[in-house]
Amino acid sequence: MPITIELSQVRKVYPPSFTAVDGVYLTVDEGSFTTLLGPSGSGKTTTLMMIAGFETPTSGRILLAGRDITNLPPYDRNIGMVFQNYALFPHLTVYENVAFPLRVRKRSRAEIDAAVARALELVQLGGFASRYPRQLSGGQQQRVALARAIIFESPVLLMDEPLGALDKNLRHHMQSELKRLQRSLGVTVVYVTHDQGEAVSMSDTVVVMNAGRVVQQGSPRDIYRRPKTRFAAEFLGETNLLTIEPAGSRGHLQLGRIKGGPLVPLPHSATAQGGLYSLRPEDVTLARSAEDGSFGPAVVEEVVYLGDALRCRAAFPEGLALWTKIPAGDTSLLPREGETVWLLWQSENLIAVSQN
Amino acid sequence: MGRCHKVSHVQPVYRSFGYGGLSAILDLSTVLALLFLLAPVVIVIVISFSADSYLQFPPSGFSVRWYANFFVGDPTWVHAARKSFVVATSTAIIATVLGTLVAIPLARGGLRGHSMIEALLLSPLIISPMITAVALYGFFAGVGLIKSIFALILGHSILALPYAVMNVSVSAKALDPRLEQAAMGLGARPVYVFRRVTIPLLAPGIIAGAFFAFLASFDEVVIALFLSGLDPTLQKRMWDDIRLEINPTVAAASTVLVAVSLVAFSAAILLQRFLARRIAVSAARDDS
Amino acid sequence: MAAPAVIFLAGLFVLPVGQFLLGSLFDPAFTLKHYERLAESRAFLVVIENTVRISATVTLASLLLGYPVAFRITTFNPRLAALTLLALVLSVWISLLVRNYAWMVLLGREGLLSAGLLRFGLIDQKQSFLYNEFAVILAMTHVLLPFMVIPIVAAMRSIDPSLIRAAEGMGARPLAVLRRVVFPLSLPGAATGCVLVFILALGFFVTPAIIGGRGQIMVAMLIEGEVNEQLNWGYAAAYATTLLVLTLAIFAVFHRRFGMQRLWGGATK
Repeated sequence: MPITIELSQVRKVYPPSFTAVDGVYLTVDEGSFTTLLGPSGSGKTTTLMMIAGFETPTSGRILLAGRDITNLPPYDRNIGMVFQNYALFPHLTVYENVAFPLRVRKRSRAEIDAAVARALELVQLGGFASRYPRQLSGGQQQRVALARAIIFESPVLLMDEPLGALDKNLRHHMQSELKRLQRSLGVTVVYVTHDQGEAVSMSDTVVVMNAGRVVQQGSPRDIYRRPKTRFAAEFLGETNLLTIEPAGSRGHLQLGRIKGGPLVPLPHSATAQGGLYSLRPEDVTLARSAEDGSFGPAVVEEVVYLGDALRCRAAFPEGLALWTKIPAGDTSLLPREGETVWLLWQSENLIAVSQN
Repeated sequence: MGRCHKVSHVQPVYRSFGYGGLSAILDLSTVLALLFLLAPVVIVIVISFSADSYLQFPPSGFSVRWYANFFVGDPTWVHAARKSFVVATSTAIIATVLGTLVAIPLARGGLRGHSMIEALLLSPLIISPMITAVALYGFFAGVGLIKSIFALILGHSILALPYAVMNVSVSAKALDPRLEQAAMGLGARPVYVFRRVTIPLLAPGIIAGAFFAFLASFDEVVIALFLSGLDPTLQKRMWDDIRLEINPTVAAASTVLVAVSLVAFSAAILLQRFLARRIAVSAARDDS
Repeated sequence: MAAPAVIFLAGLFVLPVGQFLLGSLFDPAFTLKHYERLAESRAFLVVIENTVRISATVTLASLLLGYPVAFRITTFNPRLAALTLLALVLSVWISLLVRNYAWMVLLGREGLLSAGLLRFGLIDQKQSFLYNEFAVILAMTHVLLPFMVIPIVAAMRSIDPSLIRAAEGMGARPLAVLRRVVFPLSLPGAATGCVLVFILALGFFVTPAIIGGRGQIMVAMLIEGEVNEQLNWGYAAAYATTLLVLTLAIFAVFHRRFGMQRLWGGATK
């Protein structure tokens, strides 16, 4: 797919010495929903601000559809933006807020009327044109902000944690709404959030960031199933981090010793040096007795009930404790604290990750 | 922006002090203080309706002759009042424009020499008005402007500027810079943003500042004494009258002055409240 | 954007005032004669004494009356508190001349006080209570009281309520809480009020001029006299510089102890 936005070696340093963004290279495909995901301080918002034009990179270039916009002021970039606090003009009605970008572009009254009506319909706020922002709830304000951002039909939409202030149910609802809107309008969305669930459920591409750098970029499934670094593995979902040392081979199988745990077969792609491996809890199953390929015995130390699933921590005699996640369907098969169990997993689910 | 850093409303925990003997003393002193502050002015208003031609309390009878003298009988009074209005209005305009321009960057922070500018802005209020008056007198005499009304307008503007700045600052501090950012992101150039977003949102502070700048000039005595030229302001006229003879017309003039102050003050407060409410930001309940 | 205001003030305020004050040293050539004369002038010493004494008395009176009032305001419900503060602020915006004139009406020979005391037999003929220190202090306190009350109210309102609750929880009765918690924490506010009132009082002209007698001549009156009657600008500038130095000295002491920012906070309406 053609590339809409490209950041090339972008750095942002705030004097005297704070580096918010440290050499970021990322691409956004046209028409995709790309999320910048990271903890606070990771530089994701600063990156978004540089794409929008509110911050200027200290070095590096930003290209939009091939055009260098690095130093272009925000009002010339024609990029729609939804802020975290919505930033609705309190002295203007909903109509006037949404009409603002078109007024600035000197469109005719008739054109503006039609466009505003269309935009409000799209966000399901049809009858709200004459209200003021202070008369609206948070969710409604957010939709006005959205209408305002899409009305001038920019090909790119930036969103800075727009759902942060909403409660959980509303947030889920709005996530689907935003996705639906993006699909129907065909716009390219760059979305910023620290909520990995949100990122995973909404995005075509996730860009994981930490400490001003891009840690990994790929589809949610790619990053989740094949994290490249410890940070990516830990930030997206939960995982067990295992330190494994090579321990010879048996036949064509390479073996490794998990620190504090058993001797296990390594995946085919394992390197000879051993290192850090990620094993997702949902890839680990429990058995009441030893089976072919199982490891144990291990003692169940803690069981956490999650409603739809169970998280369970089982410890090996040498000290290693592994988390496993089991659907809570059949209650008779659920483990209890103090029980002895055996654990099973596929060696291919051991994913090698680098330390940073 | 959220709440101010200080608790800006009455703390209910203080109410426990509202009872008992301590509270009686407090009440007494409060009533006394308020009486002390407002009663004298009331007395002047009463005197202005006196029928006597010299100062006497209580007056022997009531009449509006002093008002007649003020408005019709002695044309110098109305003349002086008109000059005061002209000067005060001009002052308000100058002080508000300059004050708004300086209050915005000051409130945003990051201005070089920030505390120096603040100190400079407040200094006219701290330095004895006599020093300012005399200094300006000498200065304007030196540049040959001493007979002109501009000298007085400029002099009053100096005094009124801090009030304009203080009022606009309050609005400017409450102004969320992200609103201007958003406007620019939506395609508006800086001048458009200033005109259509910044200024409307600063309106409460600007209006209040303008009114208080007006009042600061209208009520000003000392600088007017020196820079009035041949044409006295209302204050200078009153000063002359008070010094030379105690004629109850001064009382009538005083009442007119109080009325103007009251109207301007109320207008400033009410307009400011009204405008501020229109641009309040808080959301209603949070459902879809 | 800030430039026009700064240039305006610099050119029309700092420049003229600076020019004026420098005239005390350069008349036109450099000379110390004005300050020498000042140092030897007995009359000036008396006037400085008057000025400081009157300003201090006014400050004290404002404090004694204003502190309890400030406290009472903080115990009002929000609406009453707002109303009272509004009345205070309003009185600031009523012309100085009107307020001084009001005192002339009240304290003059035909005035309210005279008539009242006569009626109650406390005096046997009408007399004037004007043109003395009592009248000047009364009138100046009248004008400056709000400048004492408002900073104290601000300081009291910013006391963390959990401190008071903690004290009450530990068994302190209202008077003790006042003494040990509220009072000490309100002192910066009281200091702000005192500095504000004192500095404003120092520079007063109108009140001592029309209500004061010969024993109430203050420095501002000297400046005026020297310019309007004696036409001696250099000497007037020497007076003014002394006044200014005194004012700035007070400021400096306050700033060292409390910081300048308190003053802005206390002086805003």
